[in-house]
Amino acid sequence: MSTTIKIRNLNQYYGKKQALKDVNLTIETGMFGLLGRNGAGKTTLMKVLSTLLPKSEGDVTVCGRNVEQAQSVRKIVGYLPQEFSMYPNMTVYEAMDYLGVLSGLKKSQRKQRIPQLLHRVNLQDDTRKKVKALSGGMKRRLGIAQAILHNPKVLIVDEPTAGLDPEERVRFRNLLCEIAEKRIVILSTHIVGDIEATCENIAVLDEGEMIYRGTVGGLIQMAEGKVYSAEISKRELELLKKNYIVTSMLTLGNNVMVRFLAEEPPFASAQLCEAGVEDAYMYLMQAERGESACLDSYL
Amino acid sequence: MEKYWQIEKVNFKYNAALHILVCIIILGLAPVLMGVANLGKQDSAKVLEMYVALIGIVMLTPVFLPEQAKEIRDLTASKYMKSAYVYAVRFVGNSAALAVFLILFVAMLKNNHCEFPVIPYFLGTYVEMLFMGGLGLFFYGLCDNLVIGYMMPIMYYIAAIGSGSKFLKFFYPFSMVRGSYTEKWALAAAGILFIIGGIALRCRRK
Amino acid sequence: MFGQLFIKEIRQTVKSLIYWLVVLVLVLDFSSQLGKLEIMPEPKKGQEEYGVHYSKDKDVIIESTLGALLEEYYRESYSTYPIGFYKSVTLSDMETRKLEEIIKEATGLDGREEVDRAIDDWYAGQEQDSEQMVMAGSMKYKPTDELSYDKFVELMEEADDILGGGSKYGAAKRKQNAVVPMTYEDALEEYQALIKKDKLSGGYARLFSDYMVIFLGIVPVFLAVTRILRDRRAQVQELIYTRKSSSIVIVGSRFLAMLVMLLIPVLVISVIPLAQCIEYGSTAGVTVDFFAFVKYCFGWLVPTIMTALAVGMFLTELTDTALAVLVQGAWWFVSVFSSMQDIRGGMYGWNLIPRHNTELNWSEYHDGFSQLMANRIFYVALALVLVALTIVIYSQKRKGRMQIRGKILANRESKL
Repeated sequence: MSTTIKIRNLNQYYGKKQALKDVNLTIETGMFGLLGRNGAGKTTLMKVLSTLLPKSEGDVTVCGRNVEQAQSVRKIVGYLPQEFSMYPNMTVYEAMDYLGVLSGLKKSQRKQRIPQLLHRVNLQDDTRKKVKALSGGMKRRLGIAQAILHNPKVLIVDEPTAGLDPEERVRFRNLLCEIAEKRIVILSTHIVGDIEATCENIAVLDEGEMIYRGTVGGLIQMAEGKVYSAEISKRELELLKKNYIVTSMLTLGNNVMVRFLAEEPPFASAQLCEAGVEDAYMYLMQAERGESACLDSYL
Repeated sequence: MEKYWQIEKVNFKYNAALHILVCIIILGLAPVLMGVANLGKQDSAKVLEMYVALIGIVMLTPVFLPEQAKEIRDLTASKYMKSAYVYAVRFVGNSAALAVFLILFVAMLKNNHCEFPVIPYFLGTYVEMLFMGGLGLFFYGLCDNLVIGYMMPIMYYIAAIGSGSKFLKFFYPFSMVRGSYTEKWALAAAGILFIIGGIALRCRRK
Repeated sequence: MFGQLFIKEIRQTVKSLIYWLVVLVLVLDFSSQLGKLEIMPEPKKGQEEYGVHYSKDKDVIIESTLGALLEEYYRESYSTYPIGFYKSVTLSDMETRKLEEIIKEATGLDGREEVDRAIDDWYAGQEQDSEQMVMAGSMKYKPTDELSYDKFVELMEEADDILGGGSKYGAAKRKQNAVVPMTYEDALEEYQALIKKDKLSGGYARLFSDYMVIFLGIVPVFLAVTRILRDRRAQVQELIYTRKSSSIVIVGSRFLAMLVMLLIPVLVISVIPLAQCIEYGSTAGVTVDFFAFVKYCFGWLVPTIMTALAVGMFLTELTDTALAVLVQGAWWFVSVFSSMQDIRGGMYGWNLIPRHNTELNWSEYHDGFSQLMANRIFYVALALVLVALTIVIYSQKRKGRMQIRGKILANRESKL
């Protein structure tokens, strides 16, 4: 039995608007990150994989099952939507139980798995709490618990860490990594830090086109030797911004510590730095737009 | 003043338009379903009280609908203008639409040689519209559920047809058919209380 | 799987406010209409009156209906009640000529002059023996010798069509034209039918169904619309869409749960009149049918409940709005008002809300039974078709199609 997701020549339309353009992708066991700005097509791709949208063109198989056979795919896919919500008057346990029934779990299985999972997401003391009384982070954790309730082979998580505080975010990433040991976990995000901390393989979407697929290391390599940092005065900052892509800055009194992208060494005081995922991502997005990261030579 | 006018314009375009269309369909069907010409006092009252007044439910109950989603409600509640004003403006706009519909319908009946006192019948029917619609608006505000809002006045209507004035006493909505207007005072008072109460309840719900 | 989901749906229903409002409505309906139920005593000889009933004598029906036709033709104005509201119809010249042919065939009177003379004769005759005037103003007229009853019915149906329905010549009104006072024998016969044929409880179960079906013709729609919209409000649609359960199981369990939960209060309430029947039966020595109420609940009420539920589910799933309330409200309005002219039973037709507003009148129930059965089976079938369509829509929405509020349509609309 296949344990991979295969996407071949996938095109997707919303009316006349093309949301995905000829996407080809193979996803293996482990964490897989989908990166891209808002509206790039990440959610559309995830919805096709979780049978929520009919594919317009192309071949998509999930663990050997064609997505057109929705029922068979639903059996092995768990989905956590961007906005997870549940009937507000149900308790945490009732919500899990209800969704468990819908997933086709027998009573004995539910009785065994629900407490286990709630423990795993640290909600064991809140089983009798109503869904409407949960905080954002608790709701997300309930969301992940329900998504893996039926022990799916594939877990699809849309923007998992949006709206979480830093502590919750770290915990949530770790949880996803644990889950990914034995299955495919696809997560979409526009928060680069999430990818950096969790994923080995990634794909980057831009306006429906796949502009990168490969490892995180490979992406970083693209930007290697192109990231510089320098301490400049605030007055110079405007000029620098005009010519380079600034990936971060830190104000130090009258001066600013900037990190920016340049194809060639720009000026004497600039120091070459090790590239991070965020730098690489910014580099990629700019390159894709047909703009060189370095427009003019500075000074 | 301009801002209230703006609220009503948005209401008209995004909320009321559909309901106005429903009213036009309901009133437009009247000549097909029943006689609207040469009616006597009683039959005119029946058409107005038992049929035309139903558009009150259509127009007034969904006054809170645009803010049904919690997020939208939170957002609008955070703004400077009080929600109560927004609801009041919509209510005034929608009840003005009701008045226009009723004037047109009454004029049509008169033009078709129906015999009835125009002003009392207009006011009596209008009061019933406010009462029926107010009942819906009140329960929508109370239960935060549009369907319950529609259900209550419809149940009231059915009860009025089924058990007549025996149980509803002063709140019997079809009194003009029997030539009595005293019930209309009670309906008017109750209708106004329902509308104020409904808006107040809705504003308190966070 | 179905069973477990069904139980979960029942729990959801029990916890919803709207369900208890529906129960309250049903209880109030019962207590206001049948709360003080008095079991009918046996009629005694020498009572001042025994009420009225519709004569089944074909001659009486024909003569009084033709009388009404001549009078209306004479006045050139026809009263109709297409859906229970008065509507006066004036005919065009061509329609009048068609009606004149009908009059000629039925009465032999040819043209306006002959009819005028017949009317004058009738009133002259009335004035002469005015003491015998039982029903003031209602003219009777003898048909031609050749007119068979079947031909008469055919002609009157034609006249009713010309007048746009709801006239005095349609089936319901034809019967009512022949209203006559009951004699002691008539009253006794009705009572005997109640005791022997209906075993007492049958008649009261029918009356109970009559009061219940009025509300059950609309309240299920509120429950159904609320249930379907709850998914949208709680934003759980996508979450449920991606589960393994088939659309048949999801939609079916919801439908069945609501049906059962509506039937339970009806059955519980029906125990009260049943107990009264049993009590009366034991003192009067009458055998009572213990299962009459259950039979009528299933036979008379369930098809209507199913239809209203199915309309609610179908339109809400299709449009994601409360449109079903409007549609079912309109359907209810037309159904109830169009049968308002005759609620004593027998004329069930294809009405969603069949009426029989008396514990008596077994004979007409018996006569109309096959029509009633056809009617009820039709609505069960209609409800099942609507549920099946709901399942189709639901499974399409799960796959991202037919979503009125979805992005696909949003993009299309903006391109228009």
